[in-house]
Amino acid sequence: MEIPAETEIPDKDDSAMTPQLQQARIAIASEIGPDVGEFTPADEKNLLGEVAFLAMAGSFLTGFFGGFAKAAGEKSGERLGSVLIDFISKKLHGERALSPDEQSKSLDAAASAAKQVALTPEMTAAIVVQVEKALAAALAQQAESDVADRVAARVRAEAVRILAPQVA
Amino acid sequence: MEIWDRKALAFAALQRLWVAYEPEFAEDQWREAFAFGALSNQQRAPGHWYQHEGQSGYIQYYAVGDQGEFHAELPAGIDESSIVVIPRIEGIPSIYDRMKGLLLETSPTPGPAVQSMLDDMDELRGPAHARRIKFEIASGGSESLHAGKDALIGFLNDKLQKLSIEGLGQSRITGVEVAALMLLDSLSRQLAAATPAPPSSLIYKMFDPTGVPSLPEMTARFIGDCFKAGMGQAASAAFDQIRKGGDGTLAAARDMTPGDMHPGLYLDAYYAGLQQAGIRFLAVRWGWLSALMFGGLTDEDRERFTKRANSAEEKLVRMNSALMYAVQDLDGSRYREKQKVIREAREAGLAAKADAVLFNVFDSQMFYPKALRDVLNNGA
Repeated sequence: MEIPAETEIPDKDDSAMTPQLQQARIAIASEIGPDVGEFTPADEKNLLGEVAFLAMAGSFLTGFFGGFAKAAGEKSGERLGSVLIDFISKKLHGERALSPDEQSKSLDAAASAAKQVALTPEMTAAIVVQVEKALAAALAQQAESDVADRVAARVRAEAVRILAPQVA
Repeated sequence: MEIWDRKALAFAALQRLWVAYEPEFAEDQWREAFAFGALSNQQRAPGHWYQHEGQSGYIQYYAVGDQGEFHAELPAGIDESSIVVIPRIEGIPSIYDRMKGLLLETSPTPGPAVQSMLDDMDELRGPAHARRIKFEIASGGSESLHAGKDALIGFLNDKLQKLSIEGLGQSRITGVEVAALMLLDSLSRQLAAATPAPPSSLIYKMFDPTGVPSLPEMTARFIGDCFKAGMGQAASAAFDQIRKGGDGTLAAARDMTPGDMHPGLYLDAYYAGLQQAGIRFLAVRWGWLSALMFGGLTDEDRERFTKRANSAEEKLVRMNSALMYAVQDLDGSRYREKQKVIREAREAGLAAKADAVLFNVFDSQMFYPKALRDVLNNGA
């Protein structure tokens, strides 16, 4: 992950992101907390301000929404397994190459796309479990698996609150 | 709270920092913190780059405050003339001096208990300490080994229990040494359970005190021996067990609620938890760094071990910063400063700024337990 050029505290809330997405990002960043080093290259230090944490949290959320839309687009009942893990993994890598502003827009777009998927609550519940597992596996490519599982569970909880509150 | 209690809390905070890694390291950190504090408000404002007088490397100071990142080289685009040089300041009372002063204030004519504390502090920072602890563990371990694996595991566990809490709190051992003992304890369990069993000669190398100056060095060499003997998997499992213990200890401290505790005692208990978590991360980092000294690793293992060491270091740095912060905030002044920033940001409609401070204080730096988040945010 690149260290963002922006290191100043935002003096105004100028993000185009919805408050719900902003809150979700903060909650995930909070879950990452001191485990931030688990998700970044070995030679990178992360004693940064909240901007980089939020960007990382946002990328996880974007990966989840993207994975959800992909899984929902497959034939009913088909399990994607490693295909979904690879998809999310590539998504996470792609997000890290973006600037914080681009990441925010990407997250917004991913959330909107995922929301447009029309599913029953049962199908949504089943797919989010599948996506959580795939996200955890993608994160565990770098992080300890127990840490990856914990963070992925938090991402799912936050994502579900946005996608389908009745499933949360 | 009584004045004596305040002094006791101050002593505890200083002592916790002093032994968390090792006294010399803490004293360096202390001097640097004082020197930074002596800069003008403008120079300390977020966004600057710094260099300590007479030292190489640069420190990038982030916007939220209390955070810095070391860079060996100045990145492109940073104007060298804008670097704030933090001057070397002489004559700052050391942590040791402060601790001693507090003890003598409460007991101008030291009785046996206070004298014993002073003697322990002197021994800990003295030249003979590292050797004494090394021989204490090596000789006790060797003796117990003759009685079998269970006796060895029992010996290490008993020593660890005693030294990691009582010994550390009485300045009889440093955090680095407790971390080494923790590694030996975890390694002995993993090796005892390993299938196939390790070569019989391996375990005797655990307590070989020759040719190494300290317990951590003795442990590092034994970790190398484990890898040479094909026991890398058991060693890795030993490190991971400690890492999980560290994560659990950290989570428990952060989730601690005050109950009926006095605020000072509540925070004291919180920082004590952070210190214990930090020692576990110190052990994990030392374990992986020691493993990296083994020449027979694959590139993949090397990358993974480096990553694990770095991840543990990131947590360790945060624990240590919080212990320093605890000393600086004994009078609650830091807490009030942050409260003011949050309140002013909220009043000005700058919710993102207020949230950034809260995030930094509770999630990135862990200066306070989570239970205080709402309290700080709401201005109480």
